[in-house]
Amino acid sequence: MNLFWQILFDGFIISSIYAVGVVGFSLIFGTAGVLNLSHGAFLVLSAIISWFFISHFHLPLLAGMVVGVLASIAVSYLLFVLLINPIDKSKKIPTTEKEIFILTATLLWSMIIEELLDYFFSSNPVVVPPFVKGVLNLFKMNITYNEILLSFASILILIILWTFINKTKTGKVLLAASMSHDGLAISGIDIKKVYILLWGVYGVLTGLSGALLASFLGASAQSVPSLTGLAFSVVVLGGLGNITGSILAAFLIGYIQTMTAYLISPAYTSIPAYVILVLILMFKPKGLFGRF
Amino acid sequence: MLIPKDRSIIIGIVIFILLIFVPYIFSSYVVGVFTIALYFAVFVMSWDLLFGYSGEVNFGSTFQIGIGAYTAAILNINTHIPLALCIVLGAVAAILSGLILVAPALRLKGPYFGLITLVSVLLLEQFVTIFAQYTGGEIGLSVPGIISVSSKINYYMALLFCAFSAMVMLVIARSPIGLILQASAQDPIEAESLGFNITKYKVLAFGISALFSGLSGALLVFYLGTASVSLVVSIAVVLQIIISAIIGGRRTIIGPILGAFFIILLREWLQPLGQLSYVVVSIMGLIVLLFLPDGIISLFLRKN
Repeated sequence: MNLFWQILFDGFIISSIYAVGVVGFSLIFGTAGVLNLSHGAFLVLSAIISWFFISHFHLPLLAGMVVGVLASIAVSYLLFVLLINPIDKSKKIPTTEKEIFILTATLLWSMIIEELLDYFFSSNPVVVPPFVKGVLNLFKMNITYNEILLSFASILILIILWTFINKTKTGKVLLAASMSHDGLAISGIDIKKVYILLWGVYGVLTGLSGALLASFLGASAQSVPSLTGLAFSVVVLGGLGNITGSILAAFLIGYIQTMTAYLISPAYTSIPAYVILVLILMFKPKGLFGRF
Repeated sequence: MLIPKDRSIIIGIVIFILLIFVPYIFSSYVVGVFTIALYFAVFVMSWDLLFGYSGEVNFGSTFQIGIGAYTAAILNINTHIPLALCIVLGAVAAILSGLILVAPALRLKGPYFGLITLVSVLLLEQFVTIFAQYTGGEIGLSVPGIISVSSKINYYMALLFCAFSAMVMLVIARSPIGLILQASAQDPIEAESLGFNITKYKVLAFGISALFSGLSGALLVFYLGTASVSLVVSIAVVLQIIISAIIGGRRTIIGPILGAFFIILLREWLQPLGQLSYVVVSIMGLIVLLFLPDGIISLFLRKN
């Protein structure tokens, strides 16, 4: 029985952090059609920058996180200006092949960030210090207050994002962009401004979730590929471009991983999740809630 | 868009003739680097056959390469069958495992197919770590078998193998199969409505790509004497394969050979930079991607 509660709580914590970690990947695909394979690098970058400013310059936790988020926003705009936009505009690249060019370009971008982080901060995992201390005893389990706080913070970010996209005028533009770029143009909205907003939001999201993730799991340059793989799997499983689907899929994968870790062995954590992903795609080729 | 193919064959023959003289000009160390580049070139050509012609984004080349390499290595360590048979069985394993895990996914479109291939690599990486008593885990395996101790013989073996692979793949690419694959990449619905079973041709292309990837992976293991994740499985290897294909000039088969040599020699040359060499290679890759999207080979073809 104890195990049941443990899986239920731990699964919830890890799933909510996964959800906030992958939602940006889903957003950027849904609105701009970009599969950003440097997503993992964004998460690790903001985590390591936050950690560096907190532990070396003794900034308060939140201030350190702000620096991490700023770094993430900067890299996000750089990616857009240096790579995504030129590829999008290029006349030399045939339209049918833009997708592979963007995939390759973002993979290279990821490689550059990963190797630079490795070079400057070594490949040892860093852990962002806990936001609060103390342990809660519940049903004979030990849950740290920090884990609870991380989970709540993740849910809060998701709620704010949802409200922003669905209720505010600026946010609704993103929603509209995910449906039709032509429609936006007809309504007199400059698509350039939409992209500026979008990549900014993406930077904020990856910046925040990177620090949250690193406070729970730790982060190192070497975890970049597996984080990108995680985001890719979760988002495809939920259906590309469907944010709600991504969040549900994050919970599915999070719980499968937690169950594997507790019931089989922590060494096998990611295997059942991958196998189930492959099986689901065989039978539902567009993911669980896909529209593309 | 279509690059005149006869010229690219002439370029291929010129490269082949130039490569024959390499052992007479350079030191045996450089010859060793060229040998690795030749095996790597086969990886890149195999990727190009599948992507360039059928338009499938494949992140899983190292799934086939890795299966081929590890099967051959494990057979060589644990049994007494001859080396050549180990290599052939490695290639067979690469084709079979590819057909079981990845080929069903050929029905899926773009990113979904890409994801399955990516997951196949991540899974293989996990299995190598979990079954460490057979695979050597993260450290890797050293194999007793070796193709030859002479760097010249090794080099010419690799050169012949690379030339043979290039010929087979060029013939396939220029045959009706290649044309049907190209048609399906440009407009799958139209190609299908003409009565072609696209999936059948894609599975065929995939099988051939797996065959050469597996063979080359196994040969590379017996050339270097080791099999390890970072050498034949990791995503970083896939990335280098994709970059090489694009830098060289995709959908040409010969272009990928140029790309492979470019990447391997550049990495060798930048070795003193240590880790930063990867950063420089990636930045070079991005520059070619943006300003020369048809690759290095387009420089030679454009003058026509």
